[in-house]
Amino acid sequence: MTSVVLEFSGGLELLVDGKKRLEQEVPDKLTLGGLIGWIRSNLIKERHELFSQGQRIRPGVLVLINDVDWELEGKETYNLSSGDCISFISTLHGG
Amino acid sequence: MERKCGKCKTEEGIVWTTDGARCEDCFCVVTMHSVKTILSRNKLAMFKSRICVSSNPPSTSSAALMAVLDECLKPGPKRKASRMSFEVIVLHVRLPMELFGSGEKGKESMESLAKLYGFQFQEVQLEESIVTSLKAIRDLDDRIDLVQGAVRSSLIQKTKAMECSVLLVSPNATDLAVDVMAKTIKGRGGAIPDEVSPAMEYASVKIGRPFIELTARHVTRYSRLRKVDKYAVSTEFFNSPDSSLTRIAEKFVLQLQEMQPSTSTTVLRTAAKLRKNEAAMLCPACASRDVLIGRGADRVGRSRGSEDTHPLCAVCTEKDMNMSGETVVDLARAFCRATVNEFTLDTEEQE
Repeated sequence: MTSVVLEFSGGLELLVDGKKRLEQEVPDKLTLGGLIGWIRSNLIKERHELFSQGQRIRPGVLVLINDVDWELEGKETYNLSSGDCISFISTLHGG
Repeated sequence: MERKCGKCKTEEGIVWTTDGARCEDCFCVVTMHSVKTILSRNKLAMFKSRICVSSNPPSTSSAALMAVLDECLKPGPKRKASRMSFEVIVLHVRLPMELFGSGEKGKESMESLAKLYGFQFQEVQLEESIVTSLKAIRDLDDRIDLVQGAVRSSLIQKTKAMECSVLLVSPNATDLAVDVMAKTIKGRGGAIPDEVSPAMEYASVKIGRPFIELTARHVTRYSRLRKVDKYAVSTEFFNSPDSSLTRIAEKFVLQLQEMQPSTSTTVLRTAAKLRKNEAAMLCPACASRDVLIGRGADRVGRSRGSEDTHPLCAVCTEKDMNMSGETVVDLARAFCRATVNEFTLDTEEQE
C-alpha cells in the first residue's frame, strides 16, 4: 500500500464529509487516473458525478500533484509515490 | 513536458498555462498585469479614490480579487511606493442557502479576509420582503436571475451610500461565458453586450470586472498561490449539474474548455461584438466585420468601372480581390443583408 495525502477544496470537501485533508493508504502502483476511480469508489458516498465521470475528473476541477499542475506531470498517467500530496480544487463556485 | 518556466527560463514551472509552464512569480506577474490593465484602461481605480468591492459569492474569485487589490497597493520591487492608491470597501450581501448563499459562514470568511488586508467591510442586507418573494419563486432559473438582480441592486445602492462611484465584481471569464450562454438560451440576449464588457455604467455606478480576461482555473490557481483559497465558501454543491439551464450551460462551457482552453475568452470576445449600430452595415465580402456608413464613414472598396460604392471592411479592402465591378456586386448581393441600393452616398462625396 502507498501512503498519500489527499486535499479537497473549493467545495469538494462537502463530498468527503467536510474533510479538507485526508491521509490515505492506496493500492501500490496506482496511477492518478486509478486514484480518481479509487476515490470515487471508496471515499465519496453520494453525488459522484460532482467529482468524476468514471476515471476522468469532472471538468472544472483543478488537480495538483505536490502543488504542481498535473498537466506538467503527465495527468492521469502519473504514477503515485509514497508521500505525494494530491489536491483537488473545484473552480466552480456557484452563486 | 518542459518544466522550466517559459517566461523567465530559470525557475521550475509549477503552473500550466496555454503558453507553457510558469513559475509562481511569473504567473502572479501575468495575473497582476491583466488586472491592472483592466483597472487603468477603464479608470476603475483612480488615485486616492474609494472603490467598493463585491464579495458575492464568497468564492475563490472574490478572495482572489481582494488579494489582487492588496497586491496593487504594495510598492513594486524597484519602487518605494505603489503607483496605485485607493481605499477599498468590501461589500457582502448575506444570502440564505435557499437563495444560493452561504449564510453566516460566507460573511465571516469574507470579513476575516478583508480585515487581513486592512479593508473596510460592510454587510448589505436584503429586505425581508424581497427575500420572502425570492424564496417563493419555484423555477430555479428565474430564481437565479432574480437573485443576481437583487444582489446587484443592493450592492449598487450600498456603493452610492458609501459615496463611491465604482463597484468591482469578481466574475471571471468562465463565469461570464457561462452567463452569456445561459442568457442566450433563456432569450435574454439584450443584456449580453453590457455583461461582457470590462466596465459598464449602471445607475450612475461604474461596475468593473477585473478578472474578465482570466479563466476560473487561472483565478483559482492564483488564489491558491496567494493562500486565500481557504477563505472561499462554495455554494456550488448544493445544486446538481443539471438542475438549471445555467448549470447545464456551465457544464457545456467547461467540457468545451477541456478541448479548447480558449473557449471562455473566445465566447466573451464574440459576444462583445454584438451591438446595434445603426450607422454600420456588414462588409459584403466577409459578412463579419462592420463598415460604418453615413457622413465621415469608411468608404472603401469602390468597385472598378462602377459609379456605385460598395463598402468593404478595411481587412477585405487590403486583400487582393482581383475582381471586376460586377463580381463585387454579386458578392455584395450574395453575402450582405443590406443591398447596394440601400447604401446612400454622401452628397458631398458625390460631387
